[in-house]
Amino acid sequence: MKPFRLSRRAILRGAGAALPLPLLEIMASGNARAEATALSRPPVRTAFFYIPNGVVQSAWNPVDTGEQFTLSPTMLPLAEVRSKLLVLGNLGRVKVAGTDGHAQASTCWLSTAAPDELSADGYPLKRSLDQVIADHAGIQTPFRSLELSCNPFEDNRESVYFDNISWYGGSHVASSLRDPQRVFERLFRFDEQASRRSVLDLVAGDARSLRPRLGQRDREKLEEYSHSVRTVEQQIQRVRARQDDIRRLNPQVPVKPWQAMHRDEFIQVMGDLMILALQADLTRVATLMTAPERWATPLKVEGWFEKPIEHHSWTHNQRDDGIRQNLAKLDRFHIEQFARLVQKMDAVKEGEGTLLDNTMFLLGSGLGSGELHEPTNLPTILAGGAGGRLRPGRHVQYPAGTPIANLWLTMARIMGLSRERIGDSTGSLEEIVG
Amino acid sequence: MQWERRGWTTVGGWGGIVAAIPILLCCAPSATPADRFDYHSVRGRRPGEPATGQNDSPPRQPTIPSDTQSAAVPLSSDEFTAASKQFCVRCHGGDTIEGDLDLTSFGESHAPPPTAGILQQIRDRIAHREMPPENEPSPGDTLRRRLVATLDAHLRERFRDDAPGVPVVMRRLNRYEYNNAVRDLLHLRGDIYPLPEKTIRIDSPYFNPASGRFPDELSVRNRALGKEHLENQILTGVTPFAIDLQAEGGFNNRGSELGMSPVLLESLLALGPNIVGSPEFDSYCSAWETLFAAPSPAAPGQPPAPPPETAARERLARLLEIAFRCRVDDEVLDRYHQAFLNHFAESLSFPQAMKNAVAAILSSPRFIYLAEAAATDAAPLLDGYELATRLSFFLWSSLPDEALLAVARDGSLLQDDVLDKQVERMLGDPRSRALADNFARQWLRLDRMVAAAPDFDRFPHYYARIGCEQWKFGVLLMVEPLLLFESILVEDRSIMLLIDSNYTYRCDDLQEWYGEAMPFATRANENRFGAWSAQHFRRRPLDDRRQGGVVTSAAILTMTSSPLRTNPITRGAWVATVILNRPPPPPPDDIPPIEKDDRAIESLGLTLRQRLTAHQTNASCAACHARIDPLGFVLENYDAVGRWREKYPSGLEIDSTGQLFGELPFADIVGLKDQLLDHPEIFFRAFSEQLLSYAIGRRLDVNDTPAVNRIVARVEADHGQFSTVVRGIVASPPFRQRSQGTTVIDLPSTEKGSE
Repeated sequence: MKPFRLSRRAILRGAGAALPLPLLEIMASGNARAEATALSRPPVRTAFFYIPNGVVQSAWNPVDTGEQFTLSPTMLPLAEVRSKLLVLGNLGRVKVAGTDGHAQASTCWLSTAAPDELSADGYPLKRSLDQVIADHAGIQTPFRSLELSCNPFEDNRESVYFDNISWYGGSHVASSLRDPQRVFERLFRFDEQASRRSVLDLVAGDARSLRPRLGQRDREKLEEYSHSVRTVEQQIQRVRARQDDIRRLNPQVPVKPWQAMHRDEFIQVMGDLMILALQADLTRVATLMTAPERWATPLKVEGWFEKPIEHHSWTHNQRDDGIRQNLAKLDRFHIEQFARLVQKMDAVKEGEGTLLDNTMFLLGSGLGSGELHEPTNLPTILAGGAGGRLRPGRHVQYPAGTPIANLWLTMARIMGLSRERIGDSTGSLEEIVG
Repeated sequence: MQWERRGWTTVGGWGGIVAAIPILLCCAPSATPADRFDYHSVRGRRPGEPATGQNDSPPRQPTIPSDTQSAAVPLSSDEFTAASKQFCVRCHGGDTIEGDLDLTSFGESHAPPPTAGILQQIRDRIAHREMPPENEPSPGDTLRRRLVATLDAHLRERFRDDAPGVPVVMRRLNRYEYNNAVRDLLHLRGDIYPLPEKTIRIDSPYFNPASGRFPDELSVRNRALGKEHLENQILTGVTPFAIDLQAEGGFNNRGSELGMSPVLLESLLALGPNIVGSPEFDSYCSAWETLFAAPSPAAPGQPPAPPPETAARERLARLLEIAFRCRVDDEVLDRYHQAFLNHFAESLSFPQAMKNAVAAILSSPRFIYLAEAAATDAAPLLDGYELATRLSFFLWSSLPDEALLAVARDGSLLQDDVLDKQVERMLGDPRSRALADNFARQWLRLDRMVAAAPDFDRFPHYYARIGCEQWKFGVLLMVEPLLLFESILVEDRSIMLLIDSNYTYRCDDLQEWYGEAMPFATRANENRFGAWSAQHFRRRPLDDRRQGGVVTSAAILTMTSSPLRTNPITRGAWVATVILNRPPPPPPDDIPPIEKDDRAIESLGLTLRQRLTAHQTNASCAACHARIDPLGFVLENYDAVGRWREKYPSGLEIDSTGQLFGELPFADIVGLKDQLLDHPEIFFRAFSEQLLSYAIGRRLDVNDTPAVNRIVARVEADHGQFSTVVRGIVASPPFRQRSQGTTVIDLPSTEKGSE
């Protein structure tokens, strides 16, 4: 089974491979030269890697803290990049009654709302962290943000709230792409996009003429449309300014349909596209959801499990030794996928260091354990150096009840936002900042 | 103000639609089969004609809440307060406020009254004997009835016909509707892209509702299924945008959940040009001459043809009225005409310039949103165009056609008789098949079938060949309940046939599936059933009442099972949600583990039922499971792939007994069907509510109860005839009213609700 290739020279799969062109070289052409000079220090990027349904806590938690911490059994695939990781223990959210625990887990993981700031549908949900960061970090890149999903399911089992982590607002989802071919076309087929300018003007006029007749809720709905029009307009302009760079990348379209990909291949190919977009500075903010919450549909994980697995069901049966071991193995599968992407980022040279050194690549889940739907002690691993702003290579254990919003605040500040507070944050995590 | 606390509605309550199931306590003892109405006698009749049934008994009086008060005398205020203190406040008050519901001053005059939604839930839980729970003192039957009667009286005071209910949020077309709308707007010969949502692929046309007769034999294909089986494009370069997920307990046509993101807008911006620009498009468009072809020079003796610029403007005016479903003003027309002129000046190609303008129409917000004006005092109801749009998206999942627009344009559609004629005409149009394709599929949650994964070794006959899991028998199972639904729609039969039918549609392979101990055993191992080719389905009479209807179809029974055993709780939850429209609350966080394989359970000498019952470790689990589980245990006679069994494989006996709503006993599945037939209002109400919710694209709430009551009364009088449900919905205030004012109304938090 052959993975798709970004170019004949750029084989992203597998540790130690490198992209052909480091960032500055890509950008040192045409109009981008001036910007590139200003970028003598590469920009900091943020990416999120979501795993659903929590983890087996007993196999997850390292037994000791500090720089000499021992990797837990689940974290073993990260051994090679251990020095570039921050393992953060005991961060959590407040569970809010009234909506399903799993739906809240995904929907509110990155939410910047406090527990009492409820959306119309009852979720403590406001613009998610990635989008808040994109408001600031996304104004120069062609794409303000990138939302990806490796949701492998072809049935229609759960609602929108189980399937999304990125939100513009309390009911406005930043929908994700789950077809690598579509992601590829979006990032690299700019000719088509440019031809849409005139249509955008036309439909924007329709939106304006429609608005006065509408009630309040409908106006909010229409604003989703207008927001998208503005975003796409800006995108087209910025993509045009960068088209020479993008051409020089000369990536090749992934030919295999995602439905035919093995589970690991799907996640890696999507991760490759994400890395390429970050590396080429097409965007500085990305989310990758490996699978939706709950979604009790049997799933094949080729090479790891002989029969289709039942992730959600397993989480509720993990008191059984055999099931728990399988579940921990599945957690390890996800960590291995993350580890491979971390290694790929670390193989991309950038300035004095690597792409990973200039990135915050965060792995997490909206539940600590799926067994009790508790959003406490959320599995949280922050990989990368954020351009020297982080001091990685440690396991830090926080007091129980420390809001994960403290981490969000810390990351937002590193990305250049001057926020006093995010949601229920009580301060930033100074221990991890360099 | 504990009443206003949000948590209770879903934590302790039901969430979603508040169903006003009639008080079963007050019903007469079960009717005997002899005086049961024969629902099979209901066949397509014209409105106003008497039912064609052989059964001359007068229609059953609907037992909606307003009609049941005579059965019990409401309590006085003091009596009510005393009863509440005695039976409710023990748990819902003082130090322990169970379910976040504080009833300390319930019924006292000085206390703020609870919302109608909470009143309704309290009433339902008392009526259905869910409260007080089993381990608490019970009020006894008489007092229970009087409590319910009292709450019903309170509720009646609360219901107002003009109550706004949940607003309809402006709906974006989902990709199923977008396909139909583009197809019908441009008179295309078929779909623009293949959709997995379309379960049944028509091999040769069979769906002709105007005939009133569903064919005895028909040939259909299935949707593609699984990896390595991707569908070819219909128009080169045209692919659908992402599927919209169903709302919890609802459908994928709710404006509140249908978002618009840059990613989606990009897809829509690409779709327009890709559709009209595809190499197949010109011959695929059956109205090419009148839409896209350059106006031909006039024949000799005829008045001169208008110049192309004028012709384009006239064509665009007609097209925009249909596409945007409104009277098109000059501002809008100018915009699109200018787009044509710009392109025409450049390309000098009339068809190309028209295509350019049409491509833009297909991504306009006025095309892709079902926008309705805000209500004003002068205009509380939908106008003609808006009503036509609701109607066509309800019945066709598509745009209004010219005939419907004609009566929308002159406003006559707002007259009841004109509206009724249109409903009849539209139900007779083949486009009404969207009700099966789009509504029934979602109502039955049939998409879950796609992912059903019976164990490959335990159920080898479910797979087409050993060593290949791609071809599953499931694709054929999915067709059966959908064809039953289509036949009811076409022949305008009673929806009660969805519970219990004396016929079904099966292909030979499917018949063998139900009939043989080991189906396909004699066939070669390769490609042993024909899941990939057109299948001939035939109407087959059923004399065994263990089959027929949707609940006992192998599709539903398979998709509600786990790989290695049946899953009675999932099955029970499915019945409660789909058939009763009483979705159970989400499971608690702390779920004790249960073995995944029934062999492991039976090796302990326990049946699955015994094992599950032992697993209900506390009273709060038991109270809920007492309601859900019997609806699943009654299906234990069907194995994990929907085939009948007398006993468990280990020889243990199957206990399928139970009670519906803790009240109506049944010994087996036929007994459950009998109870539903003898209390038809249960299913009539559940089905009407769900079809209404689909029709208007929003969830229902307690404010919709009066409207639903009236629909159900009509449906009962007509013994569940399908078209009566549709007519009742179309006539109802929720369907006819504008739902949003011009100002923001801040609803109490509990009324905003959570799904």
